[in-house]
Amino acid sequence: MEDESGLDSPSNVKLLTFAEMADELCPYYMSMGVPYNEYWHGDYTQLKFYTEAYRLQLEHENYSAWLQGAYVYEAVCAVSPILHAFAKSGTRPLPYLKEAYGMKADKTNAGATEAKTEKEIQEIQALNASAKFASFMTQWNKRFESEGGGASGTDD
Amino acid sequence: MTQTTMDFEYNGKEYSLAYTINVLKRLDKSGLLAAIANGERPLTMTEDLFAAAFEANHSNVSNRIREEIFRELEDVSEDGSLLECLLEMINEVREEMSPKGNAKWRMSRG
Repeated sequence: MEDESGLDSPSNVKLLTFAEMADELCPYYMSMGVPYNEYWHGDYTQLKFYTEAYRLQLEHENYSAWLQGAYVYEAVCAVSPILHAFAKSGTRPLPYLKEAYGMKADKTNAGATEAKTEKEIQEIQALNASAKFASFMTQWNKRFESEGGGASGTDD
Repeated sequence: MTQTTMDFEYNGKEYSLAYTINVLKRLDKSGLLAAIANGERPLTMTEDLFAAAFEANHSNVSNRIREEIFRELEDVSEDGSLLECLLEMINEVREEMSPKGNAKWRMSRG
């Protein structure tokens, strides 16, 4: 029975010398933006930063592609009411997004932080507390007056 | 992180020896790296590696001066022997240039 792991079969691993490995890796790193001279004669410790930068760039590109797909999806959804053959006459497409994704949320967040500083918030809280206290006192006094009035009536 | 260098002063001049990928490729082509990898220890191995390390930052220094400096260097160092340091520098180049994947791994020693 043949071993599935392939340990008994002759190895297909290609043994590279350093020179061969360096030659093979040169285009690999050049595709990540490493200049030819930098690769052969420069500081090799920078290679990992190029690799990381390239990974981030791919991530951004992937996100952009996803975002574009999302916008296309929104657009198709918006016109979908008039896209089918049996749409009633007078059917109109839904309006497309007014703003790009994330813009509204950013604006509201920015507005909230702009509107109130910490001191202003403290002042508002103090005003609220004094207003609550004043209303409580008014109610208390009213109750006292009505109870006092009743009591004086019975005393007489 | 910057590359590991071997720094010293000789005759009032500062030297900073390092390897580049190009220098190591040339060393490999000469057969020296393969010999070392096979466990061989050529007589002039240390001197050849030392002389090659000038190529990165001091390529204009003549072979005669390189030999002179090599003979003058003290054999003992707190970082290990000269050969050990040079081999460490070579290994660093190989490690840094090898592409790495994203899968995390670790050793569990009992």
